[in-house]
Amino acid sequence: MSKSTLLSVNNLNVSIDDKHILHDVNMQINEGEAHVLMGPNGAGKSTLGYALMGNPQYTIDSGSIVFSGEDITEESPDKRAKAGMFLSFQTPLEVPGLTVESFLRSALEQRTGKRIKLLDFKKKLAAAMELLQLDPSYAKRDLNVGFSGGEKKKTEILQLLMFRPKLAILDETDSGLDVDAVRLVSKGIKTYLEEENGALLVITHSTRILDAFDIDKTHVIVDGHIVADGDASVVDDINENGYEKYIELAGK
Amino acid sequence: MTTENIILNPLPVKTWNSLKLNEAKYSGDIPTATCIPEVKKIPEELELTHNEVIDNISSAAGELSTFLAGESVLIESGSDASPAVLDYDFTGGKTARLFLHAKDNATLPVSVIMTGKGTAVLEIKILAEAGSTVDLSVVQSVGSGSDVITDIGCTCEANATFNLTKLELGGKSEYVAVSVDLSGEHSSFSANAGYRVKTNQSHDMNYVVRHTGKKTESNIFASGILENDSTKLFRGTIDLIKGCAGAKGTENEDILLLGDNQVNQTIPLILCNEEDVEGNHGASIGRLDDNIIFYLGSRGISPGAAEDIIAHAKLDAIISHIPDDEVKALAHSLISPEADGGEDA
Amino acid sequence: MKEKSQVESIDRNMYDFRNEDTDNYRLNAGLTEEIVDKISKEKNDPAWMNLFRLQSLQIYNQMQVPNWGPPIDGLDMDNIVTYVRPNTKMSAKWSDVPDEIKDTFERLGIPQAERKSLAGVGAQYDSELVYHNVREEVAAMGVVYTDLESAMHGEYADMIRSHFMKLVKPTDHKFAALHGAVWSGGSFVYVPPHVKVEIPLQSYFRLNAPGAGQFEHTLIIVDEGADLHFIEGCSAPKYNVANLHAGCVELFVGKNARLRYSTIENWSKNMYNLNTKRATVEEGGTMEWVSGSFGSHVSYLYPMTILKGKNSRMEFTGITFAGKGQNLDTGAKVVHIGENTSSYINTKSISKDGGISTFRSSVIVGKNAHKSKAAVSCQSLMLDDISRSDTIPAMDIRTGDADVGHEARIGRISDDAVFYLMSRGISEEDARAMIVGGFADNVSKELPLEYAVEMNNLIRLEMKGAIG
Repeated sequence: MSKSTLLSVNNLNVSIDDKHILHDVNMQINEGEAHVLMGPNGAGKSTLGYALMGNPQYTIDSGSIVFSGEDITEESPDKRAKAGMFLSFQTPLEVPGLTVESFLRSALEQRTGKRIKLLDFKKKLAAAMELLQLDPSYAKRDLNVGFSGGEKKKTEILQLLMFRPKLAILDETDSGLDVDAVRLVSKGIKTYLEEENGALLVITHSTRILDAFDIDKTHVIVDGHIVADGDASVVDDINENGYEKYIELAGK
Repeated sequence: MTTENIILNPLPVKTWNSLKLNEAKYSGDIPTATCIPEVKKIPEELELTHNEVIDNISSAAGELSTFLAGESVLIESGSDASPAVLDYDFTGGKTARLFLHAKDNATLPVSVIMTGKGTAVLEIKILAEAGSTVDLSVVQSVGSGSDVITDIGCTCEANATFNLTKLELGGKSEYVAVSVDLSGEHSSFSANAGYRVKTNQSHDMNYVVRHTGKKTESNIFASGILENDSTKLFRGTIDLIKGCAGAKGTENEDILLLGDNQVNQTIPLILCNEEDVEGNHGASIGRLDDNIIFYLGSRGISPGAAEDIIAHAKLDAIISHIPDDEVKALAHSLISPEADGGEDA
Repeated sequence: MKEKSQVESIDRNMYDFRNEDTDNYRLNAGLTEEIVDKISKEKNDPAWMNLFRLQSLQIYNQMQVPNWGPPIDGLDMDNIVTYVRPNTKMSAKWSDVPDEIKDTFERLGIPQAERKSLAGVGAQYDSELVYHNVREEVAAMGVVYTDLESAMHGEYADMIRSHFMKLVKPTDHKFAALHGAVWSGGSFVYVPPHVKVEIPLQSYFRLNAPGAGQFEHTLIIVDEGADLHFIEGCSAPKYNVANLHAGCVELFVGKNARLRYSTIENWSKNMYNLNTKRATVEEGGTMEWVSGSFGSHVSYLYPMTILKGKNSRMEFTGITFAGKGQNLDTGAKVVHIGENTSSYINTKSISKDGGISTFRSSVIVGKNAHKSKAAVSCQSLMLDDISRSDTIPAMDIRTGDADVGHEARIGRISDDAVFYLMSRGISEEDARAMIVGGFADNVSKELPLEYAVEMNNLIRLEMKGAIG
């Protein structure tokens, strides 16, 4: 199976409130590939995630984002989502008044443009919730309202399983989770990879979640610059030696 | 009867006159024709008769009562009753009066549906005797050119509960007055009001709860959607009267603004003459938060659809309090006319 | 105890003559052109001010007292002149100061000399000294700080004319009109562009000159980019023979300027405090109010801020403590006109011993105040079941993209908290005073240290004897 390009980021420069954060970022992710983006705190990892998803607070000063062959640099977040992009938020929003169930159903209907049969939907939802060991009562609760940190992250992965995007960007999905929660979240991600042959961009500064799947490529970002691209061995290298050498690279 | 400048919905304690919030002035028709409800559903346990007008139950509607004539329909419950449903068609301009009487330890669930084209005046007086529960839902979808005036008054004796669910969707100028006396110990009142005010419509509310009984509790929640060029005024008063030790009163307002040019007025009063009480008020007013728009957007929901979904969800949450399933289904169909029956059955 | 003036006797005769028209009687017996002219002459008013006073008098006579708020029946509106022209001889003796106030002075440890000055007797040199020190320091920076009456004739005459009662117009309400007619004393402050006054200016000592202070006018202009903290009043009770205070404060905050206006008000408890304070803020400017209301019998006090320029902002921090015999109706008003303006009103109120405290506010966000933010938070504490605490906040929002939040809470001192402190060896009285002091810390932490200390002392005093 020949892999075709799913996402290509070309010389992307991003700023927020006139502060230049990402500098000439280039990245290419092919269908079905799992990429990892690593870097010290404040390097611009989350900024890249938000910029890819089109958060209006981030300004793209130059460069382009091409997804599934379409230039989406100027597109709104919902169009990107419909095209098959997904971002798991580091701090998912609470939306009082909107239940998990009706949110998922509305979003699915919006994505596909047609009504979803209730029975099929409920079956699918129940299966996904079971996989993540989320109590069925959470379907009727307001989205993320009163959820613990772990429950919020699980709800993000629940959305991943329901929406089945082509590319999932997971922003610090494992941070603040206990061992069991990491295991369940990893299981969800694995299921997505296997069943959907989906692509993955995992943003992380730890490596616990990376045991769940094979890494195709690793990118290291320091001070808004991608300073190194490599294979899975880069992760091991950072584990052993930290970011020092990469920070030096950025200094040059 | 055509009236000029009659005072509706007066604020129990006045504030600056220049704000024009102290009361509403109504000029228009107060119909003399009586509106006879179509009884859609009446369980055996309930007695439905005609009745002399009750006047010892308070009103927050100002001068309205002096303009009302005619007898009222009485529903009495002496036991644990299943829901009654009354359908009022106000076409041509009509006035309806209803008296709900829940005897000791009885339950009385009643749904009132308001439809038709023409000025609609509805007065509901409620006596909830000791230990009783009254569940009243009012679904208002009167024609969009009509004036709607609703006056609900209730007295709760010891351990009685009054639950009010209001869904207000139609009408041009709407006035809602709700006055509740929690005079018995441990009595409670809870209101869930959902409304959608469309372009050039206005919605004027006056909720007054008087806590006189010990350990009484009230909870008012008003959740509304204001479209372009609409006007809304919410008056909410929690009056914690000396002797109501242990009482708790809460009022919350949640307003979603869709579009522009709304007039959005709120005056939530807490009056307190007792030490051992709690009174709370909170309001959140605004457009849909940018972060929510982005979050929902990242899930494939366009900003316009996000507004619809949230607006719908807000009214849905109110509808969930309606006890009768058929009325609930009707309410659902009213807020989403395009729904094709694929909803939860 | 009032002295009958000539004018009053004449008007009494007129009353007998035309008793069918009470309003007319009020007009004549209350305040006449002659009295106002006399005040004007004594003050050496310029011609425009004389005319202004007479016009204000007309407005005063046409207006009604407010139909909302605490009752002011105790005010003798028919003989308003007794408040305007009090018998100043009475304030000259320390022995005339009520024991309750003397007692408080003792407990606060205010020095004898200062006590005298507060009572309006000879020790004025002491306060003058302080006043002069302040004046010299700020004068060196080009700041004008003087009394309004003399400023009307000097270099700043035009500036005063173009600002005086332009913000609070005599037509605002009956007591603003009264102020316009009979105002007397007060301060004028002008801070030139980009001057930052490091130490707070205080009007404490100047207000206590005999015979002045009931109708004082404060006019402050902070020019572009300048910065000022002005402190009005003091934390010690003021004793005044006349028991009506209808002062007026007008504050003009220029572009990118900042003004903080702090007041700890502790009038004697026979005072009707019907004071009007207002500020207007230009682009990027900041207005900060810190307000403590402890004294007076009845208060109507709602400092208002007009956020005219874009990005202007205001913050109001207030505390009101209503004890026995007090009905204090306080709060704040804000009008958002400019884009991206923001306001934050944060108040606490305490009711005790039958005292009535009302928080009243109004937040108006105009059509063009896009992206403005307004937040109101008010908390009330009831210390017993014979007191009263009401909250009357109004909001009128006319733009869709404003962010408006409001929260109000009424409650009591938590028994758990008292128990917790007592379990650590603190007496119940002290525990309750500590909790109330903590409750009031929104204001005390905004005040200069010596004022915060005095305010806390006041709270402590108010709390004394609260138990059994």
